[in-house]
Amino acid sequence: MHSRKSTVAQVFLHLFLIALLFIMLYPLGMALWNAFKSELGFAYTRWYPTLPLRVTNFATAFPAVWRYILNTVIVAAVGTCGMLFIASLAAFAFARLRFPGREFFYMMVIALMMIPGILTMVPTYMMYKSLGLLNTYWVLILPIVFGGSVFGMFLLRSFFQSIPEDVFEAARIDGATEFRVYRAMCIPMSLPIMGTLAIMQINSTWNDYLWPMITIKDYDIITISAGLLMRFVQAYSNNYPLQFAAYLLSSLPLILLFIFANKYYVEGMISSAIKM
Amino acid sequence: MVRPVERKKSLPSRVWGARQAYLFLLPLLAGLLVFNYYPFFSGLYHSLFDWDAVGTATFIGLDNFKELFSDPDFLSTIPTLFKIAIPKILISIFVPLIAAEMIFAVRSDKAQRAYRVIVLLPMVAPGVVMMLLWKYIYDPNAGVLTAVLRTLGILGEEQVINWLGDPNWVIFSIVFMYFPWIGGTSVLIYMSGLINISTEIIESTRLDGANTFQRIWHVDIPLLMGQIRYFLIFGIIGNLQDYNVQLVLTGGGPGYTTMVPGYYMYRKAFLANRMGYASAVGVVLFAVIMLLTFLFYRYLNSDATNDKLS
Repeated sequence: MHSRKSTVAQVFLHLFLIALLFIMLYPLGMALWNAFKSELGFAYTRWYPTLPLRVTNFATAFPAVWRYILNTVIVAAVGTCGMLFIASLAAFAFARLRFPGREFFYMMVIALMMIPGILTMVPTYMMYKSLGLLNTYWVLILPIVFGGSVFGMFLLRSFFQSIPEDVFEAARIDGATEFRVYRAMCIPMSLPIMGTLAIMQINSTWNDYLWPMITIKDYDIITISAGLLMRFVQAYSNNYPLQFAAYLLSSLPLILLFIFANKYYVEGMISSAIKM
Repeated sequence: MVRPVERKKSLPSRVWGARQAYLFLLPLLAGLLVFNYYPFFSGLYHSLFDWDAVGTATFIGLDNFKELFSDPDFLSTIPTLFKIAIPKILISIFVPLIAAEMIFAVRSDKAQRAYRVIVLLPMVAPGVVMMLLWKYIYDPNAGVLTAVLRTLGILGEEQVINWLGDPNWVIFSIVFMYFPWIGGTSVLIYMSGLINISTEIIESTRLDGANTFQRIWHVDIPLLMGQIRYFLIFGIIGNLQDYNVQLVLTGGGPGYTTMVPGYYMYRKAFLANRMGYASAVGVVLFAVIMLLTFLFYRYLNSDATNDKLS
């Protein structure tokens, strides 16, 4: 039985949380309803939704941004798959295999998490330049595959370590190779955490604009955040509803991802026990 | 498990015996050497060079560093950096912790789960979109912030504050951005720590007559030190090199008021084509970040309460 006092406390707790979440979500709400307004409707009020809903904003915004969205999907998909493969292989070795130099190699990977990107940005740019990879998909994909693998390995290793050894021992007695153990047992068991990792990576690909801004000149290759910032916002700087429509369109894949994967993601984050 | 038999074997034969393991590591290690370690050493090395965007490099010793430390523009970025980064780091550690405690205190499981999902919702908007939305919030005439403050009577009807354009307000505005600072994964990371605290411990503190605040102080926070350390260390690394707001919203201005070392470096590299000089800025920032990370890590690890409980 809970006392009346604690029930009152619960009510206040809920009210307070709801108020905070409302403030947090309000800017997103603004983007949502202003995307459906005409310029006149926007001038009338931007604080709350008004009728009629104007869909033509999307028709105007879509041709301007679809290419950026497609590019981002390509870069995120290829980069994330490569990252998951390479990170999980290494995490498996660090978590489940014994070999000379394990500590050393592990430190060598983890140390990279501590090196601020700011030191490596200019030389990395120069490296891709001398490799002739500027202005190609590779300059966007390769940093995801390898750079993303560092944190990926860190997260996956702690998950792989938490799988009881008996599970693997049985397979090894049956004569399975280590690669088979990895592929047939470790990977299927860790799909939720790999899903979490994938979402984090896709999200950060969506968010990144600095690197594409520097390395890509060609608007047929550039990804969404950079495209929005460099092209769209400038071209339509006075038409706010149109800008909001473009924001909404560019968020659409993330919204879909969120709808289908939020359960996975929350579970993964809760079970990941990220700490130092 | 290293079996005693294995320990007697010589190193080469142990390496050979574990050859499969090295194959597992090969793709990652090879990639990191080329795409991560090489630029790192290249940056250290080229900070001693006059290096232009074409790639021509002339050795000039410590001249880049000498110029850097006598450039008043650069020196003035350092206090600015700390004025922005310290409050941001503190906010990113404590506000999600408070939010996680509040959600954790919700009795209904269903509501708790719903809050966890809602907290993640801002993730659906790309970061640059969030930043541009805040630009509208900060619009001096038509922005939400001005409207709210006018309604509350804090700001007079005719009073206008140019949040991002007024040197007296711009740093506050940058720190205040994304209020109430609870969106995203941080709350969940704290929740994961809280859920891992056994219900027995929580129950026993309750039976000992401790109230919620006493429990949070004496039990939760010591047990969450792992998460707090994580946010502190990565907060330092992330915030000291961050210049997103400068790049998208302020351009380092008004004047030089929001210029930070990262943005200074960006401009030297990509607007002035001085790659060697920019590398030197990178090296200095790297040294400062490493030093602070190391100091905080050592200091927090020597925390006795933390060792006892975890």
